[in-house]
Formats: sequence, C-alpha cells, structure tokens
Amino acid sequence: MNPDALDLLAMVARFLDESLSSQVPHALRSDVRAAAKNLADARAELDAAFPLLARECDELSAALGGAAPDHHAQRGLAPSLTGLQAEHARLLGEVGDRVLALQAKGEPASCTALAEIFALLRDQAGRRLGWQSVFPPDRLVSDVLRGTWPVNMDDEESAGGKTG
Amino acid sequence: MNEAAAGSGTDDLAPALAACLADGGYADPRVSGLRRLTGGSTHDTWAFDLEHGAAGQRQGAPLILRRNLAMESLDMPPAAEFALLGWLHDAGLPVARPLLCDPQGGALGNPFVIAERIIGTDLRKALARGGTGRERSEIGRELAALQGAIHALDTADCPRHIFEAFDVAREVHRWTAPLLAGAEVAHPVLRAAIAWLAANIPEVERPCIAHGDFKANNILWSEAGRPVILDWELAHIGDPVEDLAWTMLWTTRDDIVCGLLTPEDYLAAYEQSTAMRVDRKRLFFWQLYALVKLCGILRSGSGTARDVRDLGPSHALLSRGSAHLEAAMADYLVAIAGGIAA
Repeated sequence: MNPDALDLLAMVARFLDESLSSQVPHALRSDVRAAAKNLADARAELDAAFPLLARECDELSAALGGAAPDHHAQRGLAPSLTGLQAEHARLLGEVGDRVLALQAKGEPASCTALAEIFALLRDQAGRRLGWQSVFPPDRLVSDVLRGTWPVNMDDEESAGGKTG
Repeated sequence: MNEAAAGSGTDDLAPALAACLADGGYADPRVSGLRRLTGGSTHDTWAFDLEHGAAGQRQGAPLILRRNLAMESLDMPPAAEFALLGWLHDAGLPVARPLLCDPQGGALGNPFVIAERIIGTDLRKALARGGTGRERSEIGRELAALQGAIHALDTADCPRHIFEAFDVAREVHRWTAPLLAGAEVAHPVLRAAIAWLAANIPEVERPCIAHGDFKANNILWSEAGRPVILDWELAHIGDPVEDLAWTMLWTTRDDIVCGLLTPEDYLAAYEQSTAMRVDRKRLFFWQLYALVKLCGILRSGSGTARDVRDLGPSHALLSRGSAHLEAAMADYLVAIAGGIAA
C-alpha cells in the first residue's frame, strides 16, 4: 500500500482523534480533537479545490463582465493550487469593489445585478460548507430564519404595531 | 499577561488563588479540586472548591474563577462584569452571585472575577443527552420569558459605570470595523453586508440590557431544574430585538431555537410574555448584523496571532466557519436586492 496525500491526512486525523486525544492532558484534549477535524476539513478541501477554484474563477470573471479571463493563461503557466487561490482572491476583491459601487447607485438595474452576484457568491460559499466543522453542512441559518423575515422593508405592516 | 504569576497550571494557581481569597476576607482559605473548564486566548475559566473559616466553623463553597487574559479583548472588563452580576442577582435574576473581583489582576496576573458555582449542566449538553426531564416547548417558553425579563429591567437602575451610553451606529461600527481593517481584503458579501448595515441603522425606542450571548450553552440547567444565566461578558445596552436575533443564530436541535421552539414560536412566546410586538424589519437587520458580528468573533479568536499559520487548532477550526456565515449573509443580501419576499 502506498498512501497518497489525502490518505495521509485522513490517517493522521484518525490517529489524533482515536489514539492520541484520550492520552493527552485534559486541557489539551479539545485542541487535539480540533486538530483532527482541521485535517479532515483540509482533506475535503484539497480533494475538491482544484477544479472548483478554476470553475469559480470563470464564474467570477463572467460576473465582472465576461472579459476574457487571463487566469486561463495564468493557470497554464502556473497550474498550482496556490496560484489558483491567489487568482480567486484577486477576483473576489474585484467583485467586492463592483458590489459596493452597485450598492452606492441603488438603482433598480443595480439591484438586479446585485441579486445575481449575491446568488453566485452564495453558491460559491455554499460549496465550502463541507470544508468546515463549526456549523451543520446541510443547512444555512438563513434557510431556518427565512420565515421570520419581513415581506417588504418598505411595508409598515412588517414592523407590526407596538414594538419591542 | 503576566506569565510568571498567571498560572497556566494548577500547581502555581491554587496557592495564588488562596492568597487572593485571604486578602478578600476569607479566613484560612483552602483551595481544592482546581480544574480548568475552558481556556483560550482572551479568557479562561476554572472551577474549584473553597473551604474557609475559623477552626470548628469551617464552611465550604463551590466557586468559579474567570480571568481575562487579553487586555484588548472585546469582552466586558471584569470589574464591570462583577458589578453587573451583583446588580442582576439583587434584582432577582437567576445568575451566579459574584464574590470577589480584582480589576488589576494582582497575584493572579490577570484581571479576574470569582463567583459562586452552581451545580448543573449546560442546557445544550443536557439537550444533547436527551433533555432535562421537562417538555422542550415548556422550557423554550420559560427561556423566552426570561429573556424578556432581562430586557424589561430598568437601565436607569443599572450602575452607571458598567455600560457605555447606547448608540446603535457605534455598536455596529465597533464590531464591523475590525473585519475591514486587516491586510486581507474581506469577502465581498462581508463588505456588502457591512455597507448595508451602516446605511440602514435602525431607530430603537426603548434600549434595554441585552445579554449579548443568550443561547443554550450559556444557560446552566441547575440540579433544582431551573435555568441560571451565565457568561455576561458580551452584555451591553442595546436593542431587545438585537438580543433576540443573536439567540436565533443558533439553530440545531440542541439549541433554544429549533431545539426547544421553532423561530416563529420563540418570537411568539417572547411577544406573549412581554406584550411587545417584535419588529420584523429590525429583526432582519439584526439577524444580518449577528452573522457579521459572529464572523468577527470567530476571527478575533486568533488573539495575538500575526500569521494564519500561528493559529491554534481550535481557533483555526472556528475561523473556517466563515464559509457558512458568508453563504447565509449572501442569502440576506439576495433578499435585500430583491426587495425581500420571504
């Protein structure tokens, strides 16, 4: 048997959680378990990140106006995960600038564009829910609380009389 | 932090603690059973048993020690927490009675509060283990009423030095500004959410004392079967709806919301007990704010770390929860851009 990188992460995570955590002083136990979960999360991310980041860079480029994405060429020159991560972060920064500019306009057309960008960003963040161990991976708090939202922010009925 | 005196282990902390208690008026104090319950970069909590008094009149008490380890923490300073707990206890709220405070730290190296330790289990653990023996919805209604009782306290009676004057814009800025201040450019939904919050600060007719972290694992279920409210370090003068929105952030089957009552039923129970209608527009604002604030709290756990690779395993774990918060924030922003139609 020859374990690959993902196997190694799974193996060390299991060792930390099942063999080591019960042997360390109480004060260190939660950190050891957290370290095991971090490795499991890292494994999930590494397993999916490369094609996902490439796809998301394309999506973000399209959201910025569909200009021919330079990152295709960059990816060809430096097809590394860190290179893709840097490109992804750069595009997110540009999308953030675009979003703030659209928010400042506050026009109906801007709202439509914003809704599309936020939906894209929601999907992209949603793809990472399995890469963390803090919240349930299968549902968002926004889904749970949607029933408490007002129908319309301009609707006085949504405020509902005497308020606390 | 004074490393020499702080006591990272029980060997040096126990005698230092006994000396503090002696200075605080406890005769011939003996500390035993000292153990750390929680620890982090900003504060730690220890449980211990105290025996004190003259020979023949010895008495014992289970106590708790909470130390602030980071001077730049966003938590309430120990002196203010001590005064607040004393006031709440005197007002009849179910809180642990505070006994001793040293705002400078002295022999323990860091500012601290010592309070009585109530024997019980935190509600989240109790629910995870199968419950408290009482109907879940009944506990949910009791907690909604308890949260309403906190909000009904007259802030004019509260010791003045505990809280800053109420200012929604300042409170929002206090928690959002650090998220934009780092060298790393913040995620677009975080930037957009902060911009929307700053542009839509609500008016609050009746500011109240907000616990700031009213959730199942900050409620101790005592052996007597009663809730005791712990962890007041995020308390502040705020909007009661803000406090509700924070409680509604925690929605697993072991939390108050979704574990004891649905979100709608928790609001209904709160409205019934307080005879106040919860403004859904303000609730929406504070729900989005709660997501942003939690993002800040998860990241502030990094403490003094200058590089992401210096994070401890637990803080790294928490920081990665940001993906969930960003996805949820994006949902709110989609609703805002679409004019909201829940």
